Amino acid sequence: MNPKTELKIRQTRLQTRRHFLRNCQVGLGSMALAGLAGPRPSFAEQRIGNLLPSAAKAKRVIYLHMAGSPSQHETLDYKPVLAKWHMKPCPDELMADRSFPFIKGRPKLLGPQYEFQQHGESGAWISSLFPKLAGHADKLCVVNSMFTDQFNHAPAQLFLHTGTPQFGGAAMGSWITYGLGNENENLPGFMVMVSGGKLPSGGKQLWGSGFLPGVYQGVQCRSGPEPILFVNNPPGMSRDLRRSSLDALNQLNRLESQEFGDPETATRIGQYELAFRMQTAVPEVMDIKQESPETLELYGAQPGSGSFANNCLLARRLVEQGVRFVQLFDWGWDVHGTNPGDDLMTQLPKKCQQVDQPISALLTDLDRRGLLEETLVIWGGEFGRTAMNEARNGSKLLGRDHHPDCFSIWMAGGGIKPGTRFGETDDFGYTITKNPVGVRDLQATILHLLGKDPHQFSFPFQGLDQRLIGPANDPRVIQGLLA
Amino acid sequence: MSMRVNKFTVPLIGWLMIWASPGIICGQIDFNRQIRPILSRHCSSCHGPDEASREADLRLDTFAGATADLGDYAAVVPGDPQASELMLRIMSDDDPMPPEDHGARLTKQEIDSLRQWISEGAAFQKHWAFKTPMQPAIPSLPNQPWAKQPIDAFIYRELQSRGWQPNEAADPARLIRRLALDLTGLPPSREMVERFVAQPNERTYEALVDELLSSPAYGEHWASMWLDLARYADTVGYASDENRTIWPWRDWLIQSLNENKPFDLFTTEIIAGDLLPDPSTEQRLATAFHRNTLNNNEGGTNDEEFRTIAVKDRISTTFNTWMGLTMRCAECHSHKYDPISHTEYYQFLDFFNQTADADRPNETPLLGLRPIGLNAKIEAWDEKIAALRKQQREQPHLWQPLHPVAWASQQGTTLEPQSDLSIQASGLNPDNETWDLKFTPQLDKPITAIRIELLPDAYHAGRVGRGPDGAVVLTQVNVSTEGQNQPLAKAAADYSQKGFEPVHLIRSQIADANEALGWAVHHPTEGFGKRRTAIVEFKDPLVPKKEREISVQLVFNSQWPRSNGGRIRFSYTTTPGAVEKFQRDQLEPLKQQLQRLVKQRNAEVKVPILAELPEEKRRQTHLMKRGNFQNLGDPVTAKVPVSFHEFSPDYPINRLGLARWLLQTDNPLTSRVAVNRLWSRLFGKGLVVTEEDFGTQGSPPSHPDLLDWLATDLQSHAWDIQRSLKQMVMSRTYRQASKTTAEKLQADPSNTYWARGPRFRLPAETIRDQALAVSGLLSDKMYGPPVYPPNPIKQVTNAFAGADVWTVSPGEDRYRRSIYTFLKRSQPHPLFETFDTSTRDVCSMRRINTNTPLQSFMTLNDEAFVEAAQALAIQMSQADTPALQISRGLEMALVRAAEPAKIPTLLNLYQKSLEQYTETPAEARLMLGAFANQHAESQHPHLASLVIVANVILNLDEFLTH
Repeated sequence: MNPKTELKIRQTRLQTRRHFLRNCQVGLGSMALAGLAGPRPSFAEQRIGNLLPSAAKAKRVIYLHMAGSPSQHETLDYKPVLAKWHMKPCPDELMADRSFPFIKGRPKLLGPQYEFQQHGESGAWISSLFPKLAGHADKLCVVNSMFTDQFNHAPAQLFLHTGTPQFGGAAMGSWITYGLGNENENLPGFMVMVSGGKLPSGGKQLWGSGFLPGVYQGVQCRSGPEPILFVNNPPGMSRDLRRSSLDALNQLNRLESQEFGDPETATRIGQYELAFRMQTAVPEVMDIKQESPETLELYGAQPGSGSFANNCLLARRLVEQGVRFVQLFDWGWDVHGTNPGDDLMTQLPKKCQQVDQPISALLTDLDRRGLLEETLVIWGGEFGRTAMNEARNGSKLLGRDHHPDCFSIWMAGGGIKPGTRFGETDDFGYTITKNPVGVRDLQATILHLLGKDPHQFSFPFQGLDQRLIGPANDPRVIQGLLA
Repeated sequence: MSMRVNKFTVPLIGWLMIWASPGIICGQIDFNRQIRPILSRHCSSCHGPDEASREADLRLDTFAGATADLGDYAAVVPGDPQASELMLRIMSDDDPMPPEDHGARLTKQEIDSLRQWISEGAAFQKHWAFKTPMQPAIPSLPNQPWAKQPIDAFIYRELQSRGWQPNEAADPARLIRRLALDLTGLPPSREMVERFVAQPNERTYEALVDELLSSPAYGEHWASMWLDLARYADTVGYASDENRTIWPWRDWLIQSLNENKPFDLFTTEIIAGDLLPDPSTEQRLATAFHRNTLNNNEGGTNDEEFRTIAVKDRISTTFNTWMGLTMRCAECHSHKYDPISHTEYYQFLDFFNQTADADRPNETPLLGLRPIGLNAKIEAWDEKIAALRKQQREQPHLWQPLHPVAWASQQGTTLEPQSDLSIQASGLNPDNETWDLKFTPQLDKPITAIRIELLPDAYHAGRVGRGPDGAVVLTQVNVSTEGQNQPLAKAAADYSQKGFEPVHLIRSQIADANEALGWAVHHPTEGFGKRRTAIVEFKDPLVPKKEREISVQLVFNSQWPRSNGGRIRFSYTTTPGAVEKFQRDQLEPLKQQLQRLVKQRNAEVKVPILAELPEEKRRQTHLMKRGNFQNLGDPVTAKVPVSFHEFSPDYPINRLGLARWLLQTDNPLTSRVAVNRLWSRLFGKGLVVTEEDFGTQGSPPSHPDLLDWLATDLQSHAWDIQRSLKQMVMSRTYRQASKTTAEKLQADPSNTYWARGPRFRLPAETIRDQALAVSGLLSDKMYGPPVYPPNPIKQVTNAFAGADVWTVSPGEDRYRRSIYTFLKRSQPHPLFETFDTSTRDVCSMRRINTNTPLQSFMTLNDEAFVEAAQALAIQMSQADTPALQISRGLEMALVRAAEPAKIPTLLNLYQKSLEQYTETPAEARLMLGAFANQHAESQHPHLASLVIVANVILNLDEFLTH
């Protein structure tokens, strides 16, 4: 890069930062200066103008996290050579200096269990487990060279979503709503939905706001009659009576405000009004019955269920309403092969079948509504799986152990280079041989796509300028992923 | 972000142009107040204490560093700003400092300050918080009756210097409500308020303060603050997030606070109670403070990794809680702002690295103890035990043991009978298994039922089964005699998982193995660690025959592999209707009932504590490069950072010595941090706003002299916390009205100088406790295991750990104070996260109050708050007319006479509601919830309308505010 370009970039950065400090009402500037003693950040203030820098390619994010981690060998990382090694003893060099959570002794290599074919003009290799997704091959950027430094679920998920393997960090969605604000004043900016019957291992901390103000924490939506906790009036109270009672409450609170002059009282009146609006807005956006039968069928969604298909459809409805970050977790991808409920031959195809149609529908739907261009969609797990069969306690079922050294994800939409493959692994899908992408690089790239400089975007806490990408300066924006 | 080496060494051109009209600042520059913040904000990250990231070999945080010879120039030349390279660079446009990508340029005022400071000789001072506090003189304001007490004198001096006046005293009733909520977390009684309203003088007020400080509710309230510091929760965290029994420590805390244990003793017991000479059980229990660290029990985790994380958390927590400093950055590199080097961090870590705990799933070392508050129950138990013993003498045995005569497994498990006649499984544990057993009981009456006891056994890690975590799923029981199947008609169990009832045991044929549900016994709090019993009843009783052989087959054929039995015992009964009796709890043998009672009576709870490793097992602590536990550097031994006060050679070099060091009178921080924390809880923010950071990056104190006076006063009065609190609430500063005006708001938006009284939203626990208290629902039961009040999240399912069902506690436990609510780290009760409680994963020094619609939803619609509105409405209904009823509701909630101005609004709401509910009586019934049945239907519309009013009252801004 020549000095002139460098200077230009620096100036842009400086302007962005100044813009941020000046305009962000609940941003770093005012926080640090007021020592958090001024008016408390409120929900409505999440809507802090258009903080999207002009450089932003994506305005919103849908993150599809397959909790437990699918195996790359059966999905996106085609390894014909590994097939030839099927059930042969694992070569020494793969075992050197390694330890695994469950594999003991000398394991056998495990060939890919499903066919791969090339799809689309880009010729992306996608396994037969994702027949519908394969139809979108030219929209995807498949990254085969992801790596992490955590090999247990909870820390790896926390690392990916909060930038630290320990509890206490702020979720990516919190960071992003903190930095970019919200576009809909009747809905939270960061919403979370869980399917598969269990919470992901990292628990609710995966969408906690950590050291950021609580107003930025992800709001979990549930299927069923109460999509957000306590959004419904108590049994026996009509909406009409709720309106009357809020009128009375506001009237009395205004008296209080006149007498004491505390700005917090005025804010509280505002929050009760916002709550009232949310009582309509949330059930409305969560009501997929409003969708056409064609759309419901496209996703395979069924009103009333808590399925991943419903959540995909809801994700589209939420981003359509301007929700900034929609996080989906789907449980059941931890394919160790200890029983039919977690093996490669029964469980994995079942899980893939559950998500293939909804994900494909989501891409189709976003695309036809013109939302995909500005919506970044990410699919993946928290780490990869071994090239070896786990065979825990002599299990006869096929499965793979945890493997942090490489895994595959795909991204699509908002600013991502479509129809590409990035990074490569060796013949066993075991070690990255080209273009490694660390979890922190992925975070940096996501922030970059949203127009935030990942190195500058920080929040002061415990004496440090905390950043999503961590304290070190090595994380990079991966240019090869960008359109 | 860092300054490049060459930049500072390259000579500059054009510096002569920059000397434009230097501003003059009047008076002497105060380094700590005016200069340190500039250096700290703009320069320290590259030119600070951290040698690894230091650029251009230049250090600006010490005099020696700043004035060091850098060739033929120096960054700072005392007395000569024009010769100081620092001045050149901060004003340079060509090659500016800080570099463009580091941060903003210095303001003109900052530049002027630096210039004047250098002119005046560039003197450095120690950071204010690192200087030992000296008791400052109390400002003498003889003509100011307002400023008679020391606190008020300090506050008044500042107000006076700004030409401001304090507010008048708060209205008496409001003041007592504020006082009670701040000291006990509960509203005052009517009687207390009336006493003070009748005689609003100093003496009455002081008596009320004393009364509140000595109320047991005091400890329950202030314990919350310590639970945040201690990162207390009832589970271990991470993926599996199992339950942890550490509530006895919470009870120790409440008790210690209520005893007003001196802060030095309290501190010593927490950090090193186990190292005190001949420590009492309570002193050892105190150390559980540091066992609130997270445990990672996920399969395949490296225990050493998570042990290291826990130890690091202990030093962060200790430094943060007592010294208000953050140490975490020094974990990976030397601290960029405060004087703690990378090596010193690990030296300090060595103090905590010698305890026996090691992230083990069983949480050892554990301390067995009798929980507080059991003594009252013991008498009752003793009576019951005596009665049972008598009954036992008079009643024959209901269950007779079955002696096994043959035992075999089909898939290779080793089975062996034990002395107690149970069968123990060992060796191979195949995916599925079937046990074939034979018994030859001597019978004189027909057998009606067989009992199967799953017994926890040490061989199976104290669990009842052999599956993951001790799981067992028994899918089928077959009984035959002489080769002929004996049909079973009924089954029952003392406990079963939902969907896994014992009826599955007797389904004659199971079509699909995947459908084989069977009887399973995972318990939400007890796991697989308790004895479980099932009984199966014969369709036709087995008629006795001499030498009759009974074959029992147990099939473990579920889809959960290896969930086979561990140790199982069999017995029979001849009583008719066995299952029915069993379900009515009449069939538990007296012996077992007795055993259970005796066990309860002598029960010990096991709590994780700190215990020092014996000398020969001490760990060698190393520096960890970049904080990585596998990347060890040089060995280190326990030392405190050199920049702080000296560690006396008389102290033992262990946690006990460390506790003494923390409490040493020349420790500049411990007493300041302690009083600041108390001030913050009463006033809504600390004198140092950044309670968690007294270091150079934290905010400076608004009233440094007051802070030092409070700190030294606490030290010189035997660390008496309640004395400090009393002084604070007795001050006129605290007792001011919290009214404000637009002018006051503009002059002092965040009330830094206290020209008005404090006003802030109540903390999470108090929000709920107050609603329960004013509606008469609150239970005053203290201590004991955590309770489960209503929770909209009924089921918590963690990966790998099965489902935990939130079963609402019966009786008064539903209405206990919120501090007793079961706190699951991965899924806390929504009250806590909605109202800004810390996640309790790490030490939290303060809660940042937010104001969100999710809070409105909770207090408007949550079951607990609706129930409180219902209960309040019923009490309101005892007054005569609707207007009086509303007035009564306001009085009960706000504990003072209702202002007439509020009545019409609520009366209007009442009438509107009444109209609606008269038309829709079914809705009225719903609105009354559980109270509907206690009242005539004709009353429902009226009462439901009062609930609507009560719901508004419980959401008033002033109700949610202290």
